[in-house]
Amino acid sequence: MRISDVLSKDLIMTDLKARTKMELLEEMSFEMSCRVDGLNRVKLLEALLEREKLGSTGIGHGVAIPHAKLKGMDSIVVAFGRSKPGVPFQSMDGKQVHLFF
Amino acid sequence: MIVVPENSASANLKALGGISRLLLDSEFRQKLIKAETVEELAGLIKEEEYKSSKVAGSM
Repeated sequence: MRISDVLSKDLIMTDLKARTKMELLEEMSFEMSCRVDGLNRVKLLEALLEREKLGSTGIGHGVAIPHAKLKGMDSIVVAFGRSKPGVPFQSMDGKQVHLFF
Repeated sequence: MIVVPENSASANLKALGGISRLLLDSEFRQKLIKAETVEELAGLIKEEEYKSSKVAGSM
């Protein structure tokens, strides 16, 4: 499976406004739920937060891969978000995150 | 951000693996940070994926 096949252009966010980890997850959940049929904003946010509790998905080098499993989805959905100033995300290397995949 | 149906562990893992492999390349990360438009970003991802699939195929 190619990422470029499942990442539609309307789920590419070039200039995220969030300044904290919570705001970032809220912002991306909101944008995704607006664009994907049947994707519930609150359920998505809850699932993402549950996953972050196990350990940050900030993998270092300014990259994070927040992810979640959700009931009722028909297929995989991938979004890409970018923060120009960067967001603190409890990454392993302590760096701010610019790229959210 | 990756969202998968509840009963699809393998799709999740494949997507995570594919993305994190691409992002190991610091030059690619810098290009993603500097890109101006959605089209440019989409093009960069497609191109990088194509390059990496060729490398994988030749091994």
